[in-house]
Amino acid sequence: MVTRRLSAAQQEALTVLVEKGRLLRVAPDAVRATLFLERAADTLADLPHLKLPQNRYNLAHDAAHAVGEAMLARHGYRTANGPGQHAALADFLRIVLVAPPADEAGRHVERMRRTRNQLHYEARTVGAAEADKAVAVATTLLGAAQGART
Amino acid sequence: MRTEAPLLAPIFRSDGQARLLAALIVMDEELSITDLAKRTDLAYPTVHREVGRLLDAGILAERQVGRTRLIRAAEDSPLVEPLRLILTITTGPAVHLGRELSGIEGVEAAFLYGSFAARSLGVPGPAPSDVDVMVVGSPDTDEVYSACDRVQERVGRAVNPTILTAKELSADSGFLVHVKSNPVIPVIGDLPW
Repeated sequence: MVTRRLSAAQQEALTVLVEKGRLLRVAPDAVRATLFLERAADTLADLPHLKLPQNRYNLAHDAAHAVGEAMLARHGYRTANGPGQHAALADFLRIVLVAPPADEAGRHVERMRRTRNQLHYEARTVGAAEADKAVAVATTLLGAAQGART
Repeated sequence: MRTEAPLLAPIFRSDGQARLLAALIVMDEELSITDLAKRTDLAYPTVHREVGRLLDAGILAERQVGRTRLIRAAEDSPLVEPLRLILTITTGPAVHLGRELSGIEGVEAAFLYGSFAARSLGVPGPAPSDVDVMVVGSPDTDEVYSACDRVQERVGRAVNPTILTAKELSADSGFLVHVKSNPVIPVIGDLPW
């Protein structure tokens, strides 16, 4: 697994998140990254067994989140404990994923986070089209992370 | 008849006044008093009275075309731009979503629901932090998300679309029963139930 070096602008943007206390710098951890990528792949592989769009959406969100954790570990970061960890992870992905098609997928993670919160806390529903989009995003993120095209 | 102050922006003297200002300042249109009354669903005498006040204050301007008075925002007033900002945040989501979503193929209907719709319609409760919009049809999801992102940027609130086909909307889920039995604001088309 090869990690693409972050540009100066990307590193600066991440430093802002660190200074705001939303991310912590840690030692890069290739093992943790690999474990989370395997988790994401397993999660996506289970999707064909699901029927309800909201379940597919939730699982796609979980897979995308696992990819995010893998990317954090690979680049030597983790989210700070406390509220807003998922939002910080979405911001991290938006910063590190700059090459198409992962850049668009990275930007979509923040919307998936909000939708997933509404599913969990407001009993909202989603349609098949939104679930399909979420699955496509998670699949794109996983492919990009596995290929280190980030 | 004077309407109550709008819950989303009680700085306006009435909901009617806020709707009237939104029609002229957010939509940026020039309308006759008759058209303004239709657009805002207010009685003609109410619009006539409110327009008179706002003309006196220099917030609105008028011009005579034949026998018709056309009313518009007085762009040279220093109050118009700040008002536009406030109205965009409070009443803008429906206006801007209507414009954005109407250009997307496959959108059959759209309406606001949730706390923003409820507060807009005078149902008391906590101030909403975001805007929930139901988009009915089979549009390209990316186009809908992009449209919502643009509106979100303008109105300063998160805009959360729920995209359902008409068949999915007709499903008998508790959530959808809740949505249909609570305040909603049509954005595009008639309510699909």
